[in-house]
Amino acid sequence: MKRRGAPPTMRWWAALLAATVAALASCSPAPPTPLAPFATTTRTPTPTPTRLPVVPVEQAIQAHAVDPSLLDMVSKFRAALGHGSLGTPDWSSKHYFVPLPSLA
Amino acid sequence: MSIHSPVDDTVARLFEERHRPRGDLAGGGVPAYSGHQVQIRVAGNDALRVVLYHVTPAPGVAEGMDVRAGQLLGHANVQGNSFDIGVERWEGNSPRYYSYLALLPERQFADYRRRGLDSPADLIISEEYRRAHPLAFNSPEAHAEGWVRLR
Repeated sequence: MKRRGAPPTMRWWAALLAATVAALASCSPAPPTPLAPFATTTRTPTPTPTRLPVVPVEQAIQAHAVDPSLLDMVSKFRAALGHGSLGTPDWSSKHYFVPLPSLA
Repeated sequence: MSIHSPVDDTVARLFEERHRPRGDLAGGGVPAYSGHQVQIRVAGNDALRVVLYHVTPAPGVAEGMDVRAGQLLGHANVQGNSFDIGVERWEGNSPRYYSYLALLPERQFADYRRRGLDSPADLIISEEYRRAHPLAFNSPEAHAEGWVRLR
């Protein structure tokens, strides 16, 4: 038995070192668990905004602008005017309607 | 003569049409105020506008209001002008016009058939035809061949 206050012996240091190593070993982290494999299910993509299908205007027109029974005559559509054949860009590349004289 | 929206959607623009007055009204001149212009968006087709010219708007008709096909929008303002309608497709900064009567679905065009029109093609003066048969602008000949009288 060592006397209290006496300097530690080599054996004492060796025992302390062994105890420290053992303690550190017991505290070492658990071995890393392998990473989970990537999910095999397909990720649902975020829906991207889509343009509405373009509705042809002939399907969009659902009512008469003017009751045809009230008309005396209509103008022809002057497609050529849109190209400047007569020197004006657009004024009559539209349809003109003339009501019956009694209703004008 | 009552004017109705031919399509569902929204009144995109509504404004007075003003021109420099010309001539005597009784003699067919043009007044300073010639009604309002009503532009209607076409549901499902952002580039299109149905444009109604020379309309005296009905009370309550305003920009931004939703409209349904057949809804009363006003009455033709025919003082110095005939009522007219255009279908515009905007490509960039300029519109291209399409024939309203040629775009009518058959169920609508049938009402014009009953008035003596055979086909929308009979209502169009093509560029090819006009180049082959040139006329002076607004000449009596141009006026005479530009109209179809209904039965």
